[in-house]
Amino acid sequence: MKKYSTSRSSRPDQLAVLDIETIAPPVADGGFPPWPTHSPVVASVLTASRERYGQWRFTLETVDFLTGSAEAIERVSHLIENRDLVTYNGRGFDLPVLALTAMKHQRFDLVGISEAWQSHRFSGRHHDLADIMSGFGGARGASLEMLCAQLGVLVKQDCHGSDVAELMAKGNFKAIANYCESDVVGTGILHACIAGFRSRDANYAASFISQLGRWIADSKLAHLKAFERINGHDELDRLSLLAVVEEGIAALDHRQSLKFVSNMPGPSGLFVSKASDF
Amino acid sequence: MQYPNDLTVIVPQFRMVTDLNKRAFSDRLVFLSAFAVLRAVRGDDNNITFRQRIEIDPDGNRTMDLLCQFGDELQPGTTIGGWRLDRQVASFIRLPRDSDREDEGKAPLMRLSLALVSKPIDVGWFDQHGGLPTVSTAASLHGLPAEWRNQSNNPALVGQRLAARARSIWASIGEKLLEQGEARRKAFANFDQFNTEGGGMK
Repeated sequence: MKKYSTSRSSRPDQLAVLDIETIAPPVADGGFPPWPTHSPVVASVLTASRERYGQWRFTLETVDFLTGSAEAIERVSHLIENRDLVTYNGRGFDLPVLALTAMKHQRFDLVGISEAWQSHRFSGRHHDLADIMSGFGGARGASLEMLCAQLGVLVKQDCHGSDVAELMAKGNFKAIANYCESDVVGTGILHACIAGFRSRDANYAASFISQLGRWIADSKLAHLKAFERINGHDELDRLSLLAVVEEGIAALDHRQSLKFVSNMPGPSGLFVSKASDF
Repeated sequence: MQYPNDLTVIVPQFRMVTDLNKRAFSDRLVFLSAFAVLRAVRGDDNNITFRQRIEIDPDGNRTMDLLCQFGDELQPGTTIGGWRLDRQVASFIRLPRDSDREDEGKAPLMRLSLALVSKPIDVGWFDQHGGLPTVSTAASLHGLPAEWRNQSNNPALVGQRLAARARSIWASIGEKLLEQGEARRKAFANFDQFNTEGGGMK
C-alpha cells in the first residue's frame, strides 16, 4: 500500500548522533577556516534504538579517518543509514564536510550520508539541534557547551575543537577520539531533552538519558563518566521506571483486545530452558 | 536523597525461557520464580519495624500467583528499594505474556507503578557502577553465582539467598542515607535484632 504521509516523528526511535573532528590549514586572520578546507580526523556515532517497553539499546563507535579515509567514510555512512540523524550544527558543517569527503573518494553510493545531507531542515530526517534550538534562525545561535551547561551536562571539559590540531601534532589521537565521543554523548542528551519537550513526552527524555547513563556505567567508559548521572538524574530514573511499567500495562491492554479479534499464535511448546540469574 | 520512613526492598528472581517459534508473539518469555520483599517502616520514636516475605516457586508454574502476591506486598506510597531496578522492572512487565491469566497481571503491575511514583532508591546509583557495595556482596551471594545457578532448584538455599540480598540492600541504603546519631544507631540496632532473631526466613 502506498504510504501517503511523509511526516516523521520529532522523537525518533532509531537515531544516530554524529559528531566529527577535523583539521584545516590556518587562515591569515586567525579565524575559523572555511568548511571545504577541513579534513575529518575522527567521527563518532552514537546509535540508539528504542525497543519494546521504552527500552533503549546503544552503541558508540569512533571511526578513524587517518588510517583510511575512504573506508572510514563508508563506515560512517553505514552507521547512520536508516536512522534519523542528530547533530549539532551538522547542516552547516559536519554533513557538508562528510559529503565532500565522500565525493573526493568517488563514493557516490553512500546512502546514509547522501540522504542525511540532502534532507531539508524541517524534514525530520536530520535533527540539527543548533537549528532547532534557534527556532530555525529566529534566535541567535548558541554553542553546545552553553546549552548543555544550562541543563547540567558538562561537555568540553578537558578539550575544545580548536585543540584538535595541537593534539594531532602531539600524536594524541586517543584524546581527540575521547573528546569527540563526549561531544556526541552530550549532543545525544541534549537531543533527548529537546525531543521530549517538542513532543511533550517526558518518558522519551527520561528513558533515553537514564538508560544512556546506565549503559555508560555498565560499559565502563571512564572518559564519559560525567554523563553517568547528570543533574536531576534521580527524577529521570524515576520517570524512566514509571514509563516502563506504564508501557507494560498498555501492552497488556492491547494484547487483551487482540484476543477477541483473531487467533493469536500461542506458545508452540518448542522451548529451550535457560536458567537466568537476575 | 533522604532515608524514607516507609521503605520496601524488592528482590525478585526471574527464570527466562527462549521460544524458538518465530511466529509466537514474543521470542523471550520471563517467569517469576521467587521473590523477597523486606518492608522497613520507621515510627515516630525512630524505631524501625522490619517485615519480610519470601515466596518461592520450585516447579516454575505459579508465576501469576507469585506476581499477585508480590503486588499485595506493595503499599501505595512506600518507597521501592532494590538493586538494578531498571532491569527488574523491565522483567516484571514481561511476566504475564502468553498466559491465559494475563489480565490478572495488570493489578500487581499497577500497584508497582503506584509504588514507583514515590522516589525509588537503587543501591546501584550510590556507587555509580551499578554493583552491590562490596561490603554486602559476599553476604548476599553466599558463594559464587555459578554455584547458585546449579543450586537454584533448592528452595531453602534460594530463600536464604534472597533474604540475605534483601537485607544487604537495606543495609546499603541505611549506611548511605540514615542521618548520623541516635536515629542511625537505633535503626541498625533494630536491624541487628531482626537479623539475629531470624525475622522469619519464610
